[in-house]
Amino acid sequence: MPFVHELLNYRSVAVVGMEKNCGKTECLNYIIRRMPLDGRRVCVTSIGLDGERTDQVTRTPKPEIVLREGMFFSTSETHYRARRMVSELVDVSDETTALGRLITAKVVSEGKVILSGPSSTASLRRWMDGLSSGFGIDLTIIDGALSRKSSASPAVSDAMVLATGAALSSSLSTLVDLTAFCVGMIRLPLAETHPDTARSVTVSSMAPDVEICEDTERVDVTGALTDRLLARLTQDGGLDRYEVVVEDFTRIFVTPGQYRSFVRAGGRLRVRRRTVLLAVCVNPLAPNGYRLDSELLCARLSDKLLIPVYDIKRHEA
Amino acid sequence: MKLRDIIDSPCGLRYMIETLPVASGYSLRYLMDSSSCSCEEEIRDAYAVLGSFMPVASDGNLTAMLHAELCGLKNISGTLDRTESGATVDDIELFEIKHLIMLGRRVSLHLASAGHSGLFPEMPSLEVPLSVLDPDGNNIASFYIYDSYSEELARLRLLMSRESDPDTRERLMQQEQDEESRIRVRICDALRPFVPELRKLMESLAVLDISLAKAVQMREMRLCIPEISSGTTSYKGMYHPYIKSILEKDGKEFTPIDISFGDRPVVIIGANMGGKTVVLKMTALCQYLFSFGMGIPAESARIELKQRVFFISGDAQDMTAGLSSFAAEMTAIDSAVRASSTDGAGMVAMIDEPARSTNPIEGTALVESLVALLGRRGAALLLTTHYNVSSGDCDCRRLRVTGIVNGKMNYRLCPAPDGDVPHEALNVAESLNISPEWIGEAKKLLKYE
Repeated sequence: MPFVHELLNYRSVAVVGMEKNCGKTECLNYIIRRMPLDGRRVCVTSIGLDGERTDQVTRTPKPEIVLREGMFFSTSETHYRARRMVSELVDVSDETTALGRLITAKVVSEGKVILSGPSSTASLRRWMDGLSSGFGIDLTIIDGALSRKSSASPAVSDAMVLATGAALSSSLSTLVDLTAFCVGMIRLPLAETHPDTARSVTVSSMAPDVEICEDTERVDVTGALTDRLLARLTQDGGLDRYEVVVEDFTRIFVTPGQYRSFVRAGGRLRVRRRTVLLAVCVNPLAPNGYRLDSELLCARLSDKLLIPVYDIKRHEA
Repeated sequence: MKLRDIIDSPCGLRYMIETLPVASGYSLRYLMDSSSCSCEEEIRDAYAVLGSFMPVASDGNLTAMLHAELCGLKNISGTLDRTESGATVDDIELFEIKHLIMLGRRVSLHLASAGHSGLFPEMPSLEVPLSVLDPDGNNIASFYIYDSYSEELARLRLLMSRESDPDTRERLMQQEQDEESRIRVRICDALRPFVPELRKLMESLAVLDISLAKAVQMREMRLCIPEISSGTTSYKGMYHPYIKSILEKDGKEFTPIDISFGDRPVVIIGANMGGKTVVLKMTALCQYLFSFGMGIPAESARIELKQRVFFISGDAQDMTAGLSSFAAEMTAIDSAVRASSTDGAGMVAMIDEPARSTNPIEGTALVESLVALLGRRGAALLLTTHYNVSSGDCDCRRLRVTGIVNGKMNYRLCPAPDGDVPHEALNVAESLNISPEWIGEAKKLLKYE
């Protein structure tokens, strides 16, 4: 699959699932297996807790993370002790997680490990900065945890791989629509970097009652963009005069329906920072045993998204 | 007294500790748990160490390098205790022991190559534990159970890497981990005799971190090393670093103060807003800094070591104890009076406007008797008041803030002969833009006009 090579063009890539059981961990393992190392220093970490042997919510078996010789990884003390591999410990960080301090190690002999990383994007960023300078890491792969799209925030990672699947919806068209909406948000155009401050106003979901004047050209949203805030802007009218700007796609918490009304009313949504979407991976098998037609799903998604879509299980077989 | 117990004294000690550029959190906690010097010998040693670190502090490169290393100093006493008690510690803890030894070595090397090897001599006894944790002599601060620990381990790992059947591999992994556990027991047995040395290394690195931080602070804040005195304490050009920094931010200047006390009680009188309380704060702060061997914010200083320091700021209203301001203050001062009955000469008290909240007749009596009593018992006393305390009645030296000269406050202290206390409250109030109808009426009552 060509996209694994593309990862090497970035310093950090997040692998994020739309929902639990979308095959994100399988996707991650696939990338790790296929990654051409050639002396490159690759480090794998996670945000929050991940890599449990069984899914903590649905109790279905989950693939473990298998790391190759020479790769670096970081995990909490508790999970480091439970590793099934030979690895050389290189750093014990002061950064603590719910499961102890953050340990960084180099794989001596291939094996399995449970990944658990810093619990906030800020500490993840801090840890990554320390790591790349301390150990000369070329690429960091971040395993995003349950509904934690935040690890794909451009504040942390330069690029991302999105995993979607039948766990999201067993209706093929709903699954395609939901994924397309998410991809649409990831690909929102960038806003002007140096806006005319006299003609822009700042609102937040906590304090939405800001006067938007006739000559306002830009409405900056600090924090999250919620359905309520978007509905209010849509109702007030005048959306064709200005654009709405959020930090990045991870701050958008609006439903497709609300977004559609906003766009129909002439609304334009922009982001201050963008991340690069490298590929979409699908898992056609839902945890309840229902299976969608993999070939059809991939075709429908790539037609709609205009991006390569892969079913990793099928590719491997 | 421990630093932890006095750090929140209202004299501003916390500011001095917080501006100490200590690299490691462990060093800071070590400092907080340290006790003040109890004899002149200790003070002399503490300042000798501080003096010897001054050349290091003025070498910016060396300081930065040491700082970067010492940032990695961690408290691993839990690991050391467990190892000593016979337990087997895991890879993470073994890594930390190795990390500590290598940190000590690097620090020692940095100092030696800059010609300061006397400040942190290398510990030759730690070569043995290091070789236990670095069997291949890689000299890298990373750790795992290396292949070279046992032939069996190397054999199992080789088999494991060649095995493709997951079940067999899993079985081999189990055997490999069992062998690792056996090796860990051996490593811990070998390290056990060196635990006291390792503990000593960890503590000396913390002490080094603290000494370096004190020297850097001394250089940056232009502090001085005091002389040790017996009988009197005197300061020339004393200032309060925190208040000075605030004033400088506003583009104002701090007037340094000269003062000496200790032979006889000193009573400071003078106008409101004349900086009397600041003088007490500074002397209390310097006394604390002295007993912890830190730089003194003054041009020069001669300080007598006191076992107990009382800094009682009069506006202490002990809300939690449900006491009124008067009750809280009297109780606080009483603790100093009671302490003076056993060892008056071993204490210094800075008391800000005692009995300020009561009537002038009883107030004056309380202050004069306090000065006389503490003076007789040989306590070093520095006290501020608005009451007219006579030097004859209680054998004290009177000083006053020079006061408003040419419309500007002069904070310097000068001798105050017996007589009436300065009446500048109304002038000061006027300069504060207080309602003229109020001040005018007060002046009328006093028949000023």
